[in-house]
Amino acid sequence: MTGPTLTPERTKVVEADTVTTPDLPWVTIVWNDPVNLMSYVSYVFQSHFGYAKEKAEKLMLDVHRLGKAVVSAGSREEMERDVEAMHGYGLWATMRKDS
Amino acid sequence: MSGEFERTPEGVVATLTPLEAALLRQFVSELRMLLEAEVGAGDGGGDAEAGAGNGGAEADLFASISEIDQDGPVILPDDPVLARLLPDAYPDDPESAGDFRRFTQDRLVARKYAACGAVLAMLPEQEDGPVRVVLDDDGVRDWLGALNDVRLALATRLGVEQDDEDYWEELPDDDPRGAVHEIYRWLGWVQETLVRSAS
Repeated sequence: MTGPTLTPERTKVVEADTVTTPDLPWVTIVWNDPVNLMSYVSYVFQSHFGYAKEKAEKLMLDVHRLGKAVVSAGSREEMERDVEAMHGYGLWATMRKDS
Repeated sequence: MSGEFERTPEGVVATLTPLEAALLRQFVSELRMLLEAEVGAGDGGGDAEAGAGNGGAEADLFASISEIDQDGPVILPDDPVLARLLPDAYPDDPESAGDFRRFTQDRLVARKYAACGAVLAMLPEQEDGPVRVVLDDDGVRDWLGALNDVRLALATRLGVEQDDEDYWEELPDDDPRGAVHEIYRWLGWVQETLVRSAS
C-alpha cells in the first residue's frame, strides 16, 4: 500500500478487531499491493463490510504489514460476492476454504 | 497542488486546471477503451462493437452483456492491466477460478466501464478554463473507482513496486516514464483527498 503516514487512532483493543472463523467454511483474503492507498483500503473495508473504523484500520494494517489478511468468513457464495466486490473496488482478493 | 477534493455544502468539489482535466480525460479514455475491448471476450461471443464510442454505449454494452452472461471469459486476460483489474479469485483452482470469472467478469467490466464514462462526462473536451467538478454520493463512488483503476493501470505499465520511491527519484530526467510517474503520484494525491472528503 502507499499514501501519507497514517496513524490509526489509539483506542482500546477490542475482540472484534479481527475476523474469527468458528464454523464458517470459506474465507476472503485481501493481498497487499504497491498501488492501493492505505486510506482507500480502510474506506473499502468500512463501506463494503460495514466494519467500524478501528476494525477496518486494523485489517488494513495487517494487509500492509503482513502482506495479506482474512477480511471475511462465510459460505462459498458469500465469499464470492465479497471477492467480486473487492475486485470492483480495485483491491486484490482471493478466497479459499478455511483451514 | 491542484485537483484537491474537499467537502462543501454543495457536495464533494475539486477544481482542475485545463491541463489536469485533459490528462485525466486521456488516461480514463484509454482505460475505458481497454475495458470495452474485453466485453464479449468469452466463447459466447456477443457484439462488442454494439454502441461502441457513442452516447448510447452504456445501454448497448449492458444489452450485449446480458446476452453473453452465461458464457463469459474463463481465463486471466493477456493484458497485464486487465489481469490486475480482473484477477483470479481462486489462486490454486483453475476450474473454480474459471467458473467465477465466467459469471462475474462481464459485470465487473461493465461497472468499471460505467465509472470511466461518468468521469469523462464531467471533463469536457477542449475546455480552456479550469474545470470544476461537483460530486454527489454516486459521483464520489464513480470517481474513486475510476481513479483507482487508472492508477492500477499506470502502475502496471510503469512497473511500480512496493517502496520503490528511490528508483523513481533517481530516474534520469530524459526518461519519459518519469513524467508518467509524476502523474501517477498526483492522481494518488487526488484520490487521497477524495477518500478523506468521502469518509
